[in-house]
Amino acid sequence: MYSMLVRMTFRDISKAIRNNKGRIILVLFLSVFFINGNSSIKMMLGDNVVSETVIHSQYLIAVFGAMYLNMAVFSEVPLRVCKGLYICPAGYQEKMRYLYAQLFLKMLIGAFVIAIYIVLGVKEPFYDVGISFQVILLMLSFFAMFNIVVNVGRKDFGTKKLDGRGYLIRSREEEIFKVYWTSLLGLELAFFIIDVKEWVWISEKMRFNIWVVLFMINMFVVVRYTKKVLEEVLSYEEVYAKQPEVESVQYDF
Amino acid sequence: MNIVLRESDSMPIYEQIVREIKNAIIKKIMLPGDMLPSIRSLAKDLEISVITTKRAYEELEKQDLIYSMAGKGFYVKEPNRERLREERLRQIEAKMMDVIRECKELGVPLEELSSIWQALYENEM
Amino acid sequence: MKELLHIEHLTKELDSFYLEDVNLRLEPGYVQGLIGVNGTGKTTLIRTILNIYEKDSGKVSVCGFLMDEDEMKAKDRIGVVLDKNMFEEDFSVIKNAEYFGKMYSKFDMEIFKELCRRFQIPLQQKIRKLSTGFKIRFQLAFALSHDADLFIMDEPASGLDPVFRKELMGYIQEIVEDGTRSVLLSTHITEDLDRIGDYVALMKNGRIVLNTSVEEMKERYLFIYGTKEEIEGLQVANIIYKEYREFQNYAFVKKEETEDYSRYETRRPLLDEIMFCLEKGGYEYV
Repeated sequence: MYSMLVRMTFRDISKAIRNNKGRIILVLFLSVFFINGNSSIKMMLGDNVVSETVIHSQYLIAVFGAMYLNMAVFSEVPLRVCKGLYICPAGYQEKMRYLYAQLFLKMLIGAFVIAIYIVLGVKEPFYDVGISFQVILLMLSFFAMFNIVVNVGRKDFGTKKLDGRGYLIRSREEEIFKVYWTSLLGLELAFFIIDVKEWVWISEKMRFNIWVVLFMINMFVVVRYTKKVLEEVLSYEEVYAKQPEVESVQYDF
Repeated sequence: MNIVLRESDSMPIYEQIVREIKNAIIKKIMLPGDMLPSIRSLAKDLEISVITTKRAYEELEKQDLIYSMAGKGFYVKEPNRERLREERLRQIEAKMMDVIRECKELGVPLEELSSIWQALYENEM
Repeated sequence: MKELLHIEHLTKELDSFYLEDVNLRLEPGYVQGLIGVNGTGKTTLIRTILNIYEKDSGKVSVCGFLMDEDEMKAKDRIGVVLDKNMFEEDFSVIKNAEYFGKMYSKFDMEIFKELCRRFQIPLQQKIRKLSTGFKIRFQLAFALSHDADLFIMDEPASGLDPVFRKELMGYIQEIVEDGTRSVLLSTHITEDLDRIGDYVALMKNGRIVLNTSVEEMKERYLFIYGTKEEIEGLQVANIIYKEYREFQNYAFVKKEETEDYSRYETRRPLLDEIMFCLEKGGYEYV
C-alpha cells in the first residue's frame, strides 16, 4: 500500500509543479543567482560587512527560497485518502496510518529541498555560525513545513471550499491550525530575524527561555490539532462530496 | 423439454412454467422418475427470478405432479392420468363455450356448428 | 445460512439528501433491486452502507460483521461496482488491481487477469483512458476476483451497450446461482429487474416504501382498461392514477382481495409502470 502512496504523492507533486511552472522557474532562477553566496550578498550589503552576517543572510535566503518552493508545490498537494481506500477493506487505523505516512513523506521531501538549498546556497554550511541560530532556524522551518503540508483539500483536485461570499470555509480545527498558527509562526520568524541582529537588551538566558516556550507552544499545536485535521481529511463527505458552488449546494451523485 | 415464456401473456410467469411442464408430463416428454432442473439453474436458464421458479415447483407439487427429495431435487411423479384427462377436458369445454358464445352472437345454428365440427375433425385426422 | 446484508434503522442527513429509517435484509442467493426516481437516495443509501458516507444512526452488518466494529472484515466480503469510479485514474488497470487487491484477504490475480481477458480489458491501459463501459467492466472484474459474498452495484448498466448489459445480467445470475452469494442492484433499467430480480425495494424521499419480491409487486397492482366513461366512473378501491388518451384509457389500482376484477380488461404492470403511476398518482396506497 505504501508504494502506491509514494507513487501517488510524486504524481500529485509533478502535477503541482506543472501547474506552477512560472513561479517555480522564477524561484529557481533567483536561487541560482543567490547561490553564489558571497558576491551577491556583499553586493547587497556592502563590502565591509561582517562575515557572520553574510553567512546568516545566506542561510536565511536559502531557507526562504526552499520554503517558498515548498509552499508553491505543497499547497496544491493536500493530504488526501485516495478514494479506493473507502471501498476496500481499510478501517480507521489504516486510513490514519496512510495519512500520517503521507504527512511524513511530504515533510521528508520538503526537508530534502531545504537541505539541498542550504548545501548549495551557504558557502560553508557547517561553519560554526552559532548552533542556536541553526537550530532555531531549522526548527522554525520544520514547523512551517508542517503548517504547509497539513492541508485539507476538496474534490479531486483539492480546491478549497467557498461560502456564499467567496470566502474559504474551514472547520474550527483547520482554522486554529492554519490561520492562527501561521500568524504565530510569522511572529516567531520576525522575532528571530530581529534577534539575529542581536538586540542588546535581551539576555542570553531570556532568549533561550523565550524560544523554549515558543517551541513548546508550537509542539502543542502540532500534537493537539494535527489529529483533528487529519480526521477531517478522513471524511469522504468533507473532501470529495461537496462542490465549491457559490449559488446553491449541489452534490455530484 | 423446452419451455417458452411470454412476458406479455396475461398468465403470470410461474403459471406459464407450470403449464409447460404439465404439458411435457402429459405428452410423455417427461417421464415419471425424471429429474427436473434445480430451481436455480432453471431460473438462470430462463433468465427469471428464482422466486418464480420456486413458486412454479411448489404449485406443481400441490397439483401432485412432482415430488421433492430433500437434498436431491424434484422428480416427476406418476401422473394421475384420469384426473389430468378430466382437467384437460374441462379446459376444452371452456374453449368450446367460447366458440358457442361467438356462434350465438353471429347467429350460427347448432346444425351448422355440428357440421363444421365434423368437417374440421375429419380433416385434422 | 447467515444474512449477507442486514440494515437496521439507518439514518443519514447530507444537506438536501437524506435517508430515514432504512431497513433491509438480504439472504444469500438473491438479486435485490433498488429502484426509485432520481434524488430519492439510492446512491446515498449505497454509499452509506459502504461507509463512504458516515451514517448518523442505525446498524449495518455484512455477513454478520458489523460495519461499526469490523469494518475491514465486512468490506472484505463485498464486491463493489459503482457508477463513479473510485480507483486511481492515472494508474493502469493492472497496477490498480495490484495495489488494491492486496487489501483483500482472498484476492487472486490470476482470476483477475482471466476475467480481464474475458471482458477484453487491456491490462496496461490507464483507467482514465477507459470508456465508461470499460470502467464498469474493470470494476466487475475486480469485484469478482476476491471471493466476495455480497455484491453491491450502483447503476452499473447505465453506461453499457445493450450487448454487454445483457452479459452483465447473465453474470449477476451466475453470481447468485449457487445460492451462497447475493447482489444488491440499484438501477433505472427496471426491465432487467422485471426479469432477473428476485426482490425489489422502492425508495421515495429517503425511505424504503415497499420491499417485496418482484412477483408480489407486480401482482399488487393492476391496470384496468376501458372507455373514458368507464374509467371515470370506476368503482373500485385504491385507485392510484388514471390516464385518458384518445384510444386508450386506464386506471392504475392497488388490488384488494375482496374485489372482483374479472369483469374488466386488465393487465399486470411492469416495474417502471408501477414507478410511474405511483409517482404521478401519489404514494398513499402504496
